[in-house]
Amino acid sequence: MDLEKNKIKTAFVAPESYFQDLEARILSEINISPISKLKLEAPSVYFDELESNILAKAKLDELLAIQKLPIPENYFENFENRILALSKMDGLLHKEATSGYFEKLEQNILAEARIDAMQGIDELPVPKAYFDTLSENVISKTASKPKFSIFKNVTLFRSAAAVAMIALAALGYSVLKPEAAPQDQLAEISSEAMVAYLTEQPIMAEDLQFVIGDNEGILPTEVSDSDVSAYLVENGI
Amino acid sequence: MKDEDIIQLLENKETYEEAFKAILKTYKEKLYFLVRKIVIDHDDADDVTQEAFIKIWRNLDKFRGDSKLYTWLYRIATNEALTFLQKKKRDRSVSLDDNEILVSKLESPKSDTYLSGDEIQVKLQKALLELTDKQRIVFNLKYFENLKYEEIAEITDTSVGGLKATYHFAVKKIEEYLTKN
Repeated sequence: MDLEKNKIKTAFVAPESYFQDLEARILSEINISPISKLKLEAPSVYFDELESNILAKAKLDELLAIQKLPIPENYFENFENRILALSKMDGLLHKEATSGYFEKLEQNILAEARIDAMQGIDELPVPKAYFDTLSENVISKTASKPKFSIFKNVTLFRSAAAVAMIALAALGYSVLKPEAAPQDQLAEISSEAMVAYLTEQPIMAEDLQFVIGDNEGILPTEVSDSDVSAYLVENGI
Repeated sequence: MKDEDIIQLLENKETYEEAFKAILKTYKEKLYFLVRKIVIDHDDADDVTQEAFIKIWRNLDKFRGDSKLYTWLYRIATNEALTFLQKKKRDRSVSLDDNEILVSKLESPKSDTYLSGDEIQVKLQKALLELTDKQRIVFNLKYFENLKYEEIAEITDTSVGGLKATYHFAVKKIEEYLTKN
């Protein structure tokens, strides 16, 4: 059978009045008629604010449309180091100086400057004959000063020695005297008599040994008898 | 109203409504039968036709005049019909031959089948159901609508050479069916 030669029509038919209804149904479906009669109104200030609202939105859209901001080359490679450096600097800025730091700062800096200035110098200038007198100067400044000693004061030493002699004599008598006779045999001797006695008798070096001891420089022979006598007289002994 | 007049109305948004009413008036039957031959059932065709016109209304501003008005309208209607068939096939829980249901609708003795014509016309419709959906569409547009291959190419988005091959194959298959049956 040749379809082209024997044209066959379609067997399909539509219900009666279908197409009349179809038009109305489609128009009502898309609400064409009601919309064309409806009068729409806008709020009173709508158009006054419309322009600024649109411009603001356009600006926002512009910002949002920025997909990719240009980034400097190697930016992220050095990023970490820069942040760490900034954080360290920030820590230093907030550090507090130790008390008295600024007061001594000037001196310290000047001292450092002097040291720096001397670093390059191989030979510093020295006053003439400095080293020759150096040792003497050091000794004179560092030797210990003599303390006051009774043995240096000769007059005083003689007087003290005389008193000590008297005391020893008294002590010796009291020890050596016989026990049976507790009586103080020196009690009858007056002081003047004792002084006269001592004056007549020379004080020997060995008598003063217990006083001098190991002291150097002081010789018992330097204290004469007349000195001792004079002392005793002066002091009413 | 002629297509040129409707196209003129489409140039101004304020006359869109008038243009659409003109389209509706001019093409309601053509689009209905175009869809009916694809989906077979009247009720299904009614649904698809309404959907097609609603889609046309919503896309009036997209018609740029670089193609003919009727090819643009046919394209929308054909795509809606194909989408409908694909959705119906997906919704079926029982696996059946795609066109068996359509054949059963053709053979249904119900009065709302809306099938008229002699035996050969009915046979032809059954023969068409032996083809794939796309083959059927190409055959319908070429055989029943008498469109040129270039126009069919715009509607189906297929090459002219492919369409010729498809139509030739469809004709052969239908002739075999009609000869056998």
